[in-house]
Amino acid sequence: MTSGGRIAILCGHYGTGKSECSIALARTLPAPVTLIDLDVVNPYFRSREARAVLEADGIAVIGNSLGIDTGVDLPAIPGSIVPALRDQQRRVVIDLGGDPVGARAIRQFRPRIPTEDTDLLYVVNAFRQGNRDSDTTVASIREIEQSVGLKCTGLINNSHLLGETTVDHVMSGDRLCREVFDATGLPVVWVAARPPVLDACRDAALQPAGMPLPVTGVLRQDWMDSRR
Amino acid sequence: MEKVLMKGNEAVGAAAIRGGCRYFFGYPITPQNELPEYMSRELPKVGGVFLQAESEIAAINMVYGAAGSGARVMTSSSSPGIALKQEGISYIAGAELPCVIVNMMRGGPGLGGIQPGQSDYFQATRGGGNGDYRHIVYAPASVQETVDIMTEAFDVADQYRIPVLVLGDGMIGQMMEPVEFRDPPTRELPEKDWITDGTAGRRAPNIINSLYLAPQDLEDHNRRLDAKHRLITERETRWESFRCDDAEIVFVSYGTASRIVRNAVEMLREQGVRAGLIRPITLWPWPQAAFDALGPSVRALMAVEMSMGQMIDDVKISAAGRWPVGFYGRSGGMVPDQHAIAEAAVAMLETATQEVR
Repeated sequence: MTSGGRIAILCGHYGTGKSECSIALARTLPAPVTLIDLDVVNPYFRSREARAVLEADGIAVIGNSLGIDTGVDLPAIPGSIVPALRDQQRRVVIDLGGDPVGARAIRQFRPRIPTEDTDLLYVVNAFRQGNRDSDTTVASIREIEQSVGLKCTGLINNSHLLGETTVDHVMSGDRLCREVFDATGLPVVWVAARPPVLDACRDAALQPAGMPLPVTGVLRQDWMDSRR
Repeated sequence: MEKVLMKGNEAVGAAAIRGGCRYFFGYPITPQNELPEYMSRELPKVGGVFLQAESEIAAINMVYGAAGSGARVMTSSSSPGIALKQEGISYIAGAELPCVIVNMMRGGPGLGGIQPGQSDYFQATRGGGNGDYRHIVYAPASVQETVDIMTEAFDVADQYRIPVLVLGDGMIGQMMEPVEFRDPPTRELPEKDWITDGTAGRRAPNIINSLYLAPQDLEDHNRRLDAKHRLITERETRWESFRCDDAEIVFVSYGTASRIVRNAVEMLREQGVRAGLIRPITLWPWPQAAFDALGPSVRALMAVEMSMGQMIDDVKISAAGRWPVGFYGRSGGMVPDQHAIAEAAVAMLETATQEVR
């Protein structure tokens, strides 16, 4: 288990929050960092849409080869991914598309990914259908491993209901992740949540497994999470 | 039931199956592909049928056939795909068949783009098909409301033997929101004694048809449809009035745009501008009553749409000259900003004041 692999690949069931976690992780790692958005199955809410915010933080962003971040859903994967993977001084975060079908986009780069220096992190949200219980989650992990051609090395507990998230939701996810750990031996590397929720966990002396990863919801517009 | 986090498109699929849908015919198009994908995986598990047709036109005519034989059936698409279905929708309305159609709108005209839009208002409420027909149009503003409407839509369609269009946009289809699945209110549904499910030699054949060659027969049919449309208008019109009681400016907005307008209303209120919102939930039937209920404080209306201005025509009809009607819109897949909406409202109030002077 390590958060220290030079390359971190985030995978998972779709809609669990891979893009937000990828953005948060890229902002947590020591520079220089490149975020590679390899999502070719999702038309909206992709991490490349946060390019301006990330570049202001000094993080390089690789989207598609057309240089268009919004409004195209073409699998136009750029060659600039290869030198980023090769750069020994650079931390790389790869945001895969959801499910095995979305994860498949990385397969062509598999020979260029050094196994010993790479973490494949599975993002868990206990409130998504594909993570509804341990068995379903483990099955999803195994399918994605097949698709990527790498073994998973850890979990990110990103269990949430967006603006309605409380510490209870984080802890539900923690229980699920512990069951997945029992079944697979995969440790929780990060526990991701919005900063107030992470603070509330700390104040309540709750200790969900994993290092705190503050997710700020860069891809959400403020009207989306207004209480109705 | 515990809340779960769902993407709009998959939530529509789950709600449709809960609402009794067992047949889906469609053809893929962004940004609603997660819906047919969900149905292809989940319908067979409940004994249903998913079929990817060779085109949108084929799909809507499969809906005609399935509905005619009594099935709970739906199709879905996005703007240009819905345009292709218009002929079939007119035939379905003419033959008085129940079905549910989902449009997750994107920018247009033509192929347009894949980002969210609301520029199919004319298409949805006036129809691209021929003839004196109407169909119900629901315009939900959240994934939860989409789920609630979708679960009920098949009952509504069966009750009135009419197509029901659920009009979302790419944002509703693609965004994630917490949802819970609830049972819709119980409706008294007529027996489907008109379907073509085989006579077994025991009754005269039923005929599903929209052809009435004798002019008097067709006029009689048109009058029956019109009576049905009036009944639906009386019973099924839905809207939400938000902070209209003392409002000086009332926005009119539906779906995704109305979510942003609601924030603009709160923002304006904090600045001391009394703003309100009429949010039509059914676009047809249109909530005329919401306008007639407005009080003397109202000085102006403002339509806000993700289009160059389509619903505004209905707002003007409803205003009937009682108030000036302004407009703020973004199009092409651009999503409006609450600050810009608020600024437009303030500017309009100033103009309205000058005109009074």
